[in-house]
Amino acid sequence: MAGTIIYLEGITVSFNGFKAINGLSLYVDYDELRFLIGPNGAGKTTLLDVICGRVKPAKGRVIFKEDIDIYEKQEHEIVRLGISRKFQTPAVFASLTVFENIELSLRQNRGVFASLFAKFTSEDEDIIYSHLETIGLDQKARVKAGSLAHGEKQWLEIGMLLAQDPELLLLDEPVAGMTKKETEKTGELFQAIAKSRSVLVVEHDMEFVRNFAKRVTVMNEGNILCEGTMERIQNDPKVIEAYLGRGWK
Amino acid sequence: MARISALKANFRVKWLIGLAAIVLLLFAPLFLSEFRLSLLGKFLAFAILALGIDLMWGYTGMLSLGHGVFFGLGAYCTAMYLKLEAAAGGLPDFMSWSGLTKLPWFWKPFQYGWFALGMAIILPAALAAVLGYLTFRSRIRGVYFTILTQALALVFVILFIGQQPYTGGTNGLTNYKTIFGYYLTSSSVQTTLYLITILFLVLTYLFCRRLMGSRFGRILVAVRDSEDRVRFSGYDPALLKVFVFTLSAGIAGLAGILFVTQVGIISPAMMGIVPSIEMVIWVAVGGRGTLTGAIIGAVLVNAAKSNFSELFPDAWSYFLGMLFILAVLLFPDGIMGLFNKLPRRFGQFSLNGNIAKMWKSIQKK
Repeated sequence: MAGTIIYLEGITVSFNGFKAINGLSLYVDYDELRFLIGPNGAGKTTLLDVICGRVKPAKGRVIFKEDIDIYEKQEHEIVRLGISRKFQTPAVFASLTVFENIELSLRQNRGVFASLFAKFTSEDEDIIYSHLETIGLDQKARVKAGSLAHGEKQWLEIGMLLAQDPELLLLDEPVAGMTKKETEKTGELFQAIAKSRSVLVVEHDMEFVRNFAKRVTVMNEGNILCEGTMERIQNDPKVIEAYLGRGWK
Repeated sequence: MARISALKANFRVKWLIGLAAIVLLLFAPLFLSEFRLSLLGKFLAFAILALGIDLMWGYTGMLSLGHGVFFGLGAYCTAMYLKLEAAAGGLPDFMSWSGLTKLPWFWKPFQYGWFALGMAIILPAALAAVLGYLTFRSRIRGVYFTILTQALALVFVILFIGQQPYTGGTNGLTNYKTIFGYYLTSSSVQTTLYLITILFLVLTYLFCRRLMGSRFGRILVAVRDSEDRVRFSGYDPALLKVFVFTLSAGIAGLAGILFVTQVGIISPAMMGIVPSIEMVIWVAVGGRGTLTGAIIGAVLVNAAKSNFSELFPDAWSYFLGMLFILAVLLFPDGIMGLFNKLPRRFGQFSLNGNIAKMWKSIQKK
């Protein structure tokens, strides 16, 4: 599918006068794997917060698909629209099993009474196991999520996002704390996901970005510095200054 | 396979133990004095209350230090009816003493028993729903929520003491005669009330069990683990929490009904901050997050309290405080946690495994 899945226009977010994001505009296409990089404090995480409804911008608009204004929606409603968010530190349900973690994430009627009388079908089980296979945790289905290794927790959370069957995934440093091999696998997983969904990844691991990014957006001081292929970005003098300038001057 | 059958046996043994406990409780009226029986009835009413607190605290992770209020409201609603029945169409005694000449309008409907009993559950539930909605909507949680519930307890105690003509003040409501025409002092009525309490305890337990076994129950645990993740999985944690808080308050109201009919008095001293904290200690000692633990904790702590305070009336509160500190420091999972952990620590056997083995050998014979 072609076209734009999410439009951010003139977004400004300020925390007590400090402008974390300053008049930023960004467009992400359907089925695109987009990377968002930038030095610390550039506003990357805040940008994800704006899209998933955690932070309401002081100015600007966020439009999902053609005409859904995110501003009026609460976080859980935004999730139901098809936007899923992964956090920087993996957030999983530690005292539930891996299987149950995925079960609760399934796209289903998520009202209070619906979950009181929810029936568990063998179809649900099949779907859950297929997600578990995707993230390589099918052997650990009955293990408590709290006892997983850090990298496995990251994967579990990604699996939970997939179970939500979203159209747009927002991933905040998904490979942090992963081994090189795990990182490699995760990158391949993202490329597979992006065949039918849009993925927006904030990442610090430059090697990871270099290996898997087609299009990269660089942020600095609350705005977009430049956008393009990794190659173009690496040679952009503005980017070099933003990354190296502060430390060297 | 062997493991699964052991688990199954273990499961059956647990039900058997539960069943045996119920049978024992049912026959208690035959060998307990009236005084001890009413004490036991009180403990069982507290066990119902503990189940409600466990839903909120043990499973969902919301600590309320104001559950005395919901319990008290249930008890007061019931007591209003009992008082009006005792007054037999006249004015309740404390109102005449306070100089009232007419029954206040809000007392009038409480002359109907079913209305009073209905309100005893609806009123605390409604209060929790409103308070919960306002609190959780504005994302107030954790210790801030706890402080709010504590303030609630304080406010209600002050209100009930201050409005003596309408509430009986510090003395509370006591001196009842009959319930639906039956004399409360008769031992057959007391035994019936005791048996009704057992029935409601079992029903509440089964209800909570069913609830926690559903997807809803798992979502509650998920809220405790990571509220943000629940929100970003498309659920509205505020609504979930309001629902649990309301349910828990309703259960506390039910406990209040069963308490006041057997104990014969309700006063502000039983709904304030101290009793509210005690209620939480029952669950902590029994083992939060396990329904059986909540029941065991409520009964054991209260049994200890009544025995200990008969011997050393002044020392009880120190003992209780120590118990709480011990529970937090040494056995954070309470008695239920000890059951599951201690045997493993002191040798290579587990209680559950042993029960399973016993069951197997019984089956063979």
